[in-house]
Amino acid sequence: MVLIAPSAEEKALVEAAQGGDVEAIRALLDRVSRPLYAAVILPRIGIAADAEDILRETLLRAIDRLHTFHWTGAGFFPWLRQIAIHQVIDHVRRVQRRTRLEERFERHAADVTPMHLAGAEESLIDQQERALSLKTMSVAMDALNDRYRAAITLRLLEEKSREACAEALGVTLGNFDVILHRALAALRKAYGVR
Amino acid sequence: MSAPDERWNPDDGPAPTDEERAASSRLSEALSEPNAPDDPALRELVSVARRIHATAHPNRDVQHAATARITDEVLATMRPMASPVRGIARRMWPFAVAAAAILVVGVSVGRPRSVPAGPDPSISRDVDDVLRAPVGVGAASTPATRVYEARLTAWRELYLRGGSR
Repeated sequence: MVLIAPSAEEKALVEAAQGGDVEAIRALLDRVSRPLYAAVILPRIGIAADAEDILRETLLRAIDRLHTFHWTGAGFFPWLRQIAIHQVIDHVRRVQRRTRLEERFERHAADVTPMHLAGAEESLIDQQERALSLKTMSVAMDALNDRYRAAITLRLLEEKSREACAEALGVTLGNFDVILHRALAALRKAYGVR
Repeated sequence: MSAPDERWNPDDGPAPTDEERAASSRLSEALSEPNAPDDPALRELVSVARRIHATAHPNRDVQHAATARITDEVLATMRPMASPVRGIARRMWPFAVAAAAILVVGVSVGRPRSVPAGPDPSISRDVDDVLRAPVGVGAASTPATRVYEARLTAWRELYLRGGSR
C-alpha cells in the first residue's frame, strides 16, 4: 500500500478538481465543508437557515473560481474560509445596521486566519476554528457586567431552564427575560463578525 | 429557598417599561422556537444567542447532515457544467477546432474542379428519340399542358404514319 502525504493528496485533488473532475470536487468539499459550516459560518451567523445559505453560496463561488486558486502549501481550506468570511460579512451588512468603522474592523479581523496546514484532518481544522470562536466569544462576554454575563452563561452555555436561571439570579421569570434581553443586546455590540 | 424578588433590582439597570417587558417576553419565546423570527430586531438578538450556543455546543450530527445535503445540492447544480467530459472537452477544443479547419480546407481543395461548360448540344438530335419518348405522368395537370400533350400526340401519330396529313 502506498502512503500519500496528506498535503500531496490534497494538492492532487485540487488539480483534478481544476480539471473538472466532479468526484475530486466532491472529495475536496467533503473534507472541508463541515468544519467550514460548523466552526466558521454558524458561530458567526447563529441562525442555521442563514448559515446554510451562506455555505451554499460559498461552495458555488468556490467552484466557480476554482481555476483562480493557486497552490501555496497552506492548502485549500484557508482559501475557502476566506470566501466564506466575506460572504458572512456581506450577509451581516445586508441584515444589520453597522457602521463603516465596525465593518472595516471586521474585514481586517477576517483577514487574520488561524494557522492551517494543507491536508489537515477535519477534526484539527474544526478544533483550531472553534478555539478562535471561543476566544472571540470570551472577549465579548468579558465586556458585559456580571449579571448579564451570568444570565447568558446560565441560559445559553449551561442550557438551564428559564426557571432555573431566574432562581439562580434571585429574580422572577419576567425579570429574568428582561435581563437576558438586555444582556444579548449588549453582547451584540461587542460580538462582531470575527 | 428564598422567594424571588418581585421588585426590579437596580443593579440590573433602569426599571423596564411595559414595552421592554413585552419585547423580552417575545425574545424568550423566539429562543425556544426552532425557526428564526421574521422581525429584524428580534432576529438579530436570536442570532446572537444562537451564535453563543453554536460555539459552545456544536451539534455534529445535525451539522454533518446539513453540510452533506448542501454539498450534494451544489454538486448537482454544477454537474452539467463541470463533468469530466466537459473537462476533457475544455482541454481538447483547440485540437477539435484545428481538425475541423483541416477538414474544411481539405474538402475545398480536394474537390474535383467542375468541367467548364461547353457549347450547348446541337438541337439537331435524332427526332425519333424525342418523339418516341412517353408523355410523362403528371405532366397533364394543367389545361395548357393537356393541349400541348394532345397536339404532341397527334403530331407523333401523323409522323409515324408517314408524315402526310
